[in-house]
Amino acid sequence: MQLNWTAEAIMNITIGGVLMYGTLISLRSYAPAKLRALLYFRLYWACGAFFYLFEGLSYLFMNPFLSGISVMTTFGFAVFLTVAIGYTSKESYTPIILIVIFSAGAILAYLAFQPGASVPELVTGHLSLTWAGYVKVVGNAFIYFAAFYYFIWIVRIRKNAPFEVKQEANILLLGAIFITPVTITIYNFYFLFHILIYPANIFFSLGILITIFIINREPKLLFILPFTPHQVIVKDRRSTILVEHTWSQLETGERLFSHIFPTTLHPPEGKRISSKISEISFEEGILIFYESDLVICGLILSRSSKFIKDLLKRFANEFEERFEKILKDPEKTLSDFEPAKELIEKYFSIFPHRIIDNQRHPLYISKEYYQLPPEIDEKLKKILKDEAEYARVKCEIQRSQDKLKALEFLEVYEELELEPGEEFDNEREKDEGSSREAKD
Amino acid sequence: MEAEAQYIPQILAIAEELISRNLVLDAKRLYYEVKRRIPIERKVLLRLIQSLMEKRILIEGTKLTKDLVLANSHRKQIYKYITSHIGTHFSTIKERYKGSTGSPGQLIWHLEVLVKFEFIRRMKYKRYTLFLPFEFPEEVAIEYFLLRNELNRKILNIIIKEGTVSISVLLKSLGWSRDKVKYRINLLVSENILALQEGNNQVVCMNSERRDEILELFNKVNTQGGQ
Repeated sequence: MQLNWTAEAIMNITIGGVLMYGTLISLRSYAPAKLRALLYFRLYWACGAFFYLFEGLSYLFMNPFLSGISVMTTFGFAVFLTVAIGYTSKESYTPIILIVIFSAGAILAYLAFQPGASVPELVTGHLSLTWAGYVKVVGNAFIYFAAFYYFIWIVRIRKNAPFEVKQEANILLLGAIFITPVTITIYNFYFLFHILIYPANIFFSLGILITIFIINREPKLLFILPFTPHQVIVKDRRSTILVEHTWSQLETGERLFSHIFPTTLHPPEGKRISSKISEISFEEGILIFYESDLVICGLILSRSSKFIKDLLKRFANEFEERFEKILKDPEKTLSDFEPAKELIEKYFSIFPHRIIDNQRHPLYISKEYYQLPPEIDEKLKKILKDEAEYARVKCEIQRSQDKLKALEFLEVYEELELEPGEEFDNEREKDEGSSREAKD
Repeated sequence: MEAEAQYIPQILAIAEELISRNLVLDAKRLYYEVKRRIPIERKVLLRLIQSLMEKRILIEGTKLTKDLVLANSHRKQIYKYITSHIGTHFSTIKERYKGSTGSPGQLIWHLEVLVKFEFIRRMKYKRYTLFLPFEFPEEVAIEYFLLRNELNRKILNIIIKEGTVSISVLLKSLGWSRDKVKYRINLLVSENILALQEGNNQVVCMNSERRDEILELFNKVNTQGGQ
């Protein structure tokens, strides 16, 4: 059998192989965490890889069946992307879009393997197998839909990305630009200049590779949109905070958490507290908490999800298991729970930090750390004897950004403190007058 | 972690330097400035800055602007007092707010803030420091100050009642020394509140050109209870 070794066949097979390799090695470290969103994305990328592989093989063998499989991968493309975005954003599967995709896909599945679904064609002087008729329309529609849906989603991620992952979000957007605007624009002119299929394929595969690379490097990008995590707090049953970690500021969080649980919550002797997970909604978000025998773990975030609850439960269980002896020790100290930061990193590393949220928000150094020149500082302390007064003045000096200067204040102070009162002047004049009269 | 902690003093030093250069310190500026000066990994630096903010060593805050100056209740009280007691001087304010605004140092701080943010002005008159609303004319503020003085008011009360009065009559009525009376009258004449009769500098009366104006000021000051 003669193989049709064309540039396009070689290119497609190569791209397919590279994409498949990238898909397989990506995010392996997250497999134990069983993050379903990542599974869906890997399936989406795998469909992309299969698309190129089967396209290439169909050109190589001039086999319509293989061409049919390649067009069906576009259906997989569209399905898994929709599922991945829907699940990551809302933990749901956007049924309406899926109904449309499955309906079109069902018809495509029948027609893709009918005679005439793909026809031989000369492309850039070489024989190639291209989709025809309805198969071409639906196949291309799936590709266009996936490309634009993906692009819009990435733009939203980039827009909402916190400072911590802004750089990675920019790279992700670059990949999306390659996949959608660049590839689609070039591909639209393919019908006029068939040679444009090469740059279109190159940009598309580059875009996918960039995406695989950057999401592998920073999976937090996938969790920017669904919710904003604020804080995780672990307390013992005496309501002592053992561990605390903040992703973004929320004033009410800790107060809310404290308000819910009374000061002493020892279970009655011999009785076990049945572990349970609950949630409370409030204006700024949701508090999810998990109670067990020894600890209460609370997670404050903008939205709840089954995935988050499961994460919290697993975190709490491992925390209790790892620190059981220390928790039962009445002499325990907070420093005993320092290693808990590793656990937080293990379970909640997918949450990007938003503490540097408004990166243009002015920052100040707290009064304990803000230093004035020692001589000035000493004088200020003498003048402003009260600690709170002194701290307030230091804070205002910082916040005024050079409008208020400690040195100028000290000069004014020295001047005003020496100023006599009017009563002094009045009395002085009276005394001078009396003494002059006495002389007279 | 310990290796990373060694960068914290350097980061804080850079933050202080940025503040002292009157630049707005924000996370982005701090990040880029530290990155420029210290060979530190991006993720590590972000983690350290986040840790400093979590521990509230670096605090998000607002610049102290004119809108926020009067958010301090003591300062607002002082400002209200100055605007309703034009030409008041420091000792009076100090006496008025003894204890309530904290130490005298704190009072002077509040006054300094009000001056710097152009709510009030400070001016020197003789040996006194007067405080007045920012756009208030200085000459009028001096008149208010003089009319608040107990001794000046006694003189004016007599002149307003009698019209034109000789210095000897004033001496008799007030029971003060000649020097004292002359000093006070010269002061009031120099500020155009009183005038010496033409051809006879032993007789004094209100400045006829400004009589109504001065009477109005005098009555206002009386309503406010002098000091």
